[in-house]
Amino acid sequence: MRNTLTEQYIIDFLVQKHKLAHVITDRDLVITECGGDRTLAIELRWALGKKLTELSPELLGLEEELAALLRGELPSVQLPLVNRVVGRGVKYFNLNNLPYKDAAGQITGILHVLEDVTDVGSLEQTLVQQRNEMALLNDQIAAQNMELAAANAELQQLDAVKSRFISVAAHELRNPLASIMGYLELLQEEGYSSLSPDQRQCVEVIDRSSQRLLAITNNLLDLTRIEAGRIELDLQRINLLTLVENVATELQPRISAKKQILTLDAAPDLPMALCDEVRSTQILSNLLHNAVKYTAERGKITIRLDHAAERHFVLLSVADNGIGIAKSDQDKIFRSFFRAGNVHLSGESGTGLGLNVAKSLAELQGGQIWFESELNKGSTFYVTFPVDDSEVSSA
Amino acid sequence: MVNSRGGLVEHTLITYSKKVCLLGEFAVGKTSLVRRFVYNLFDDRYISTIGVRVSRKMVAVPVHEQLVELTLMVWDLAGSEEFNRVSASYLRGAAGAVLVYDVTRGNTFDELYHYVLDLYKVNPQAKIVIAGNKIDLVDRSHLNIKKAEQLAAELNAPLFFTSAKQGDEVDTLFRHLGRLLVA
Repeated sequence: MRNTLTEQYIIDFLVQKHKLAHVITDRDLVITECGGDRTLAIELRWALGKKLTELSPELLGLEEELAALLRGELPSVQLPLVNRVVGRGVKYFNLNNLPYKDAAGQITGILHVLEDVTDVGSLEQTLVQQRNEMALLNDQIAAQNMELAAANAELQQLDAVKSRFISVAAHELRNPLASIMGYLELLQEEGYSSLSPDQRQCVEVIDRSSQRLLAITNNLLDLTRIEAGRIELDLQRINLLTLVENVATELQPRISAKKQILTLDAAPDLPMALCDEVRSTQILSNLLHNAVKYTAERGKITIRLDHAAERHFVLLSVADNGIGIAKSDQDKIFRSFFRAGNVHLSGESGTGLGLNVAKSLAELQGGQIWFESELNKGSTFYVTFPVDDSEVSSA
Repeated sequence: MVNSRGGLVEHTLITYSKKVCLLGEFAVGKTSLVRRFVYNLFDDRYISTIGVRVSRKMVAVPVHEQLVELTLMVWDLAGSEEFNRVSASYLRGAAGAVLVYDVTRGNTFDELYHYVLDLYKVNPQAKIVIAGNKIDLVDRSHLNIKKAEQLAAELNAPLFFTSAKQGDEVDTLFRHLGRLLVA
């Protein structure tokens, strides 16, 4: 008796805890009895005397399975996580159908057990929703990556074509240019005195234009070499002060022509740098050329050599009080073929390659390049060169 | 229907109820197809289905000069992993199925074979129609339909390109399946 009572307590507890309700049908699937969890059982009362499929339309189409239950050929028919729309929400039920037997063990109908699993179902729905959304997002990202990779491959191909074209064009330009410059030199050395003043002026224009064309073709070739990774550096122990003086001397005629004031300021205990002399000259020459080009007559240009804030580096700066660079152009200034909007006003020509080449070369040597600029006030370009470590260790 | 004398021809009304399942990967638009077919509604939000949601819709199908009133019990089933867990219990009693894939996600088509196998395990006689859904999202002229036509031929299943969003071919799809079920 006590055991029966205990069992009943346990059953009641489980029925309430798991929100279980049931209906019992006769062999014609008409509901004759209902019970279980109080709330649910009350809701089921309307179904008394109705067909089981009216209570659970999910069983429509499963007539053969229900018949098999009544014949005892199937132990159960279960439908997990059946969704039922209630108002604006969804309730989840596990539907279990079992053969219902009388005391003699004869199947007299079906025991239809409804288990309200909305709490677990809602949680699972949230998890599945998040997982599926994540998977969709991953699919989208993968598709976008594929498109980007395809676009990138096309761009690389175009870039290779462009580099090849520039390289070939620059080489082809250099050969006739060498002849022009050779004959020009001959003309300047041997026939110059026989030329009239007008003819001399023409020869000087040809000379300047040839020099410019040579510089452009050299920059183009350097650009293609840098992009192709074909630049080889000959790193040596270099006195940067000497290098600066050489470049300044080379450019002195142009500086004098514009009546500009060039100041050279060097820290007294500068260490030797470890860099490629030709390439470092090219960097400084590009920066100084720009300073001269974009600074007005009687403007000021200052070259400084000092210890960089970063240890084991020498800092070179070229400052001018020229036209400066507009804020909107500053993030593009090192791009190849980019020319700032205001350079056209200066009347100076250029290809937009000098700074790009200078940056690539500075970085190839292990240094950095950057600038500060204000429109109409001037610019200062900074380059760092690695110090020769052998000197540092012996110091 | 009117006869040659202008009188109404009487037909015996036969009623059937058939269970059909929507099968396919998650987010291919199974629930949206059901909503469009049963309630003529569409919602852009994606809400994952777990378990099964059963909806009913009656369609009248003419068969051999008789009108059959067919109640389709449309079982909208969860896709992917959720489906694998409970496939047998859901598919039991299914007379037919709509195999749904998303025309913008090729992998959802490849998975259809698994659903077909699951269905045939439970009911080898099940009638099938195939729905390439979300056709509104692609340019039809760029649609690669070779694989879909191949599967349709293998399964002897008609292929429809549907848009639950715009309603394109949704009704036709279900009515065609209905005709196959009562033929």
